[in-house]
Amino acid sequence: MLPQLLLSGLSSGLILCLFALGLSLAFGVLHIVNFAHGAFYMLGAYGVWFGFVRFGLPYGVAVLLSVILVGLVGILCERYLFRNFRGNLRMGMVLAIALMMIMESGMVLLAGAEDQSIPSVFTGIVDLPGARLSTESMVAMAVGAALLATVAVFVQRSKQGRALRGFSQDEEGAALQGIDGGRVCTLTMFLGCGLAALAGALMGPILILSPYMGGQPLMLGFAVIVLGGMGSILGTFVGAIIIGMVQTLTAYVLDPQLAYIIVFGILILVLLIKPAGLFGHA
Amino acid sequence: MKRILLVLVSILMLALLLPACAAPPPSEAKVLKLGLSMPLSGPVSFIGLECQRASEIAIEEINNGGGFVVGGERYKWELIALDDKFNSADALAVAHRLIDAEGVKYIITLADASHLSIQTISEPAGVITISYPGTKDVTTPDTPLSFRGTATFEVTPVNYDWFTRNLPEIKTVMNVITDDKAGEGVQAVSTACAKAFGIETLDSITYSRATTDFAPVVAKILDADPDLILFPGTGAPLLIKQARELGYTGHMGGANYINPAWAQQAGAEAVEGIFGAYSDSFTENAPPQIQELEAKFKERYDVGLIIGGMNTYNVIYVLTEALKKAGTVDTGEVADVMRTQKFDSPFGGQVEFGGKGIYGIDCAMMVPIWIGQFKAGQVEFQELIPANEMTTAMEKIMPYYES
Repeated sequence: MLPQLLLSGLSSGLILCLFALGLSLAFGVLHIVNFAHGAFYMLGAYGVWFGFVRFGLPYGVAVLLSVILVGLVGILCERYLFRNFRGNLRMGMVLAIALMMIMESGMVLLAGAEDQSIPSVFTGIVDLPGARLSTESMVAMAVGAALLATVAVFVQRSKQGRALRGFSQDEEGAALQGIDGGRVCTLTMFLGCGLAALAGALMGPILILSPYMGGQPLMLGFAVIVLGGMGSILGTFVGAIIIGMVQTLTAYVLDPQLAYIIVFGILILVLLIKPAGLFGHA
Repeated sequence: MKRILLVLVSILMLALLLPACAAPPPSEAKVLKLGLSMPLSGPVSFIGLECQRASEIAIEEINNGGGFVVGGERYKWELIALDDKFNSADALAVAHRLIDAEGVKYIITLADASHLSIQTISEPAGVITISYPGTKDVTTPDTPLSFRGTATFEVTPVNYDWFTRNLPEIKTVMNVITDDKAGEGVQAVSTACAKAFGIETLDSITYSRATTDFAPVVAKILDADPDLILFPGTGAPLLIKQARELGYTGHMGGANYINPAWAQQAGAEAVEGIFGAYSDSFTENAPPQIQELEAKFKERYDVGLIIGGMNTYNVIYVLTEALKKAGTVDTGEVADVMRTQKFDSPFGGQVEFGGKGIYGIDCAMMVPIWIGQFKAGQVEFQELIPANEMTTAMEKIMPYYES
């Protein structure tokens, strides 16, 4: 049973990492506590539902379109809403909450309040030694891992990635170096919302869709970035895997309800001992 | 000139007086207000809206048929539907509006949270309330005006009876239940049923209603390897899907109701063989009046009945019958009649309110139950349990029931 639980924990951890990375970028670079991040995740899932189920587009095309469109929505939100409150954490939070409510209620109007589902595209089971996982989940893990690696390389090695890191460390210094702050913000928001949308798109065929499906990953996402260290990609990855594993193992060994107590208990401990998180900088 | 004026005044006076001399119009039916406190917005609004629409159709049919006579007076229904957003605070506000401002004496609401909240003012105000709760708290001897619009816990013995006859290879069962009072209620009834029908209960596992990853739950199921797992509706599609993916090959059944939509949500292959009670509005086994309701729904709203509408439609007809039999609109007397008599139902045959063994008071409408089983992605009708046999099924398990 242990290999099965570890595999399930890894699977949920990887998708959580994909989701939380966008949250981490938004906070680390834009200094936004983006409570609307769960809603972007939901939009990503529904984008695939509309494209694949309602309009009959090929699945891959529906996923790509969904990610791009949600990314563009993110850009608009940053440019015309969040940018007005740069540096004002409180107002940014209020704005994000308002956005979340609008997106959720809007989706109820568009798609209805009842649960929806996306038929499995990758059917079948993958049998491994001592464990098995649906092909759908395996694909989600593989795509998630590949994207994470891509984003990590992009942020570390590319010119735009260095600009992004420089801007997050010192906006004025970055401006003096000729880094266009506006462009960095736009890119960050597109990446962040796009990653959330991709997490939603990948989980769509695995879960049941609801306009309110973003709430639970949002809470866990905040736990991940606080545990791992805000703005740290490695920290986000490690934090997500830890939380995924702890949740799955606790639910099996003890009780599913205890899983949340333990996850958030660990979070509080980390905050007390190392407030910057495992890999964050003070 | 004077003469012309006189003629004009006479004509004017005639015009004013004539209507008063005309025969009085036939007396119009009195209005009886029915309140609906339902989630008309938010995550479960699809249930609330269906209940509202079914109520509107029921009332339209009753009123268009001339209304109903209570104690020699003709009445017609007027529906006042308000949004309680599926939470207790808004339900209380709705109740105040319905009871204090509108003078409503009969309210239908959806589930426990709203009903418990409404009860705090409805019981003292002498208002009859009816809902479809998942816990026992709503209907007790201390709340004699509160009723349950359909069977919930009473369905489990019926499911047990069916599978012990039709799937005799099932010897062990595991309950997978929500970690709340509704789940506790299901566990208590299922455990009693297992004892009554000679099935061994291996364990009961709880999960949160918000669970999206059932891997740990399924791992426990695979460890125990029961012949059958029974679960409620919440989270069922995900549980079913993940259980099959992770290798559970045993039987699955609804602890009470199954939902035809599970086939689309979990996949036809995953749901194959799952059995349980269901609300039949869409097969030839559905009662004729319910088939007509289904047709009206599809015509008006482009969608068939999903959940709740059929029961609310039935509740309104039964309530109308109860008023007629009581011969008074006094809610205390109507409640007594509801507890002691049988009523014609759109479900066919007659229904009655029972459940004293579980709730301490007869308050749950015993309705016919259709047992179905998923075959090739559709719920296939298996058996119809008449309303009068619901009480029999409950009596069988009561010696083993511990609340």
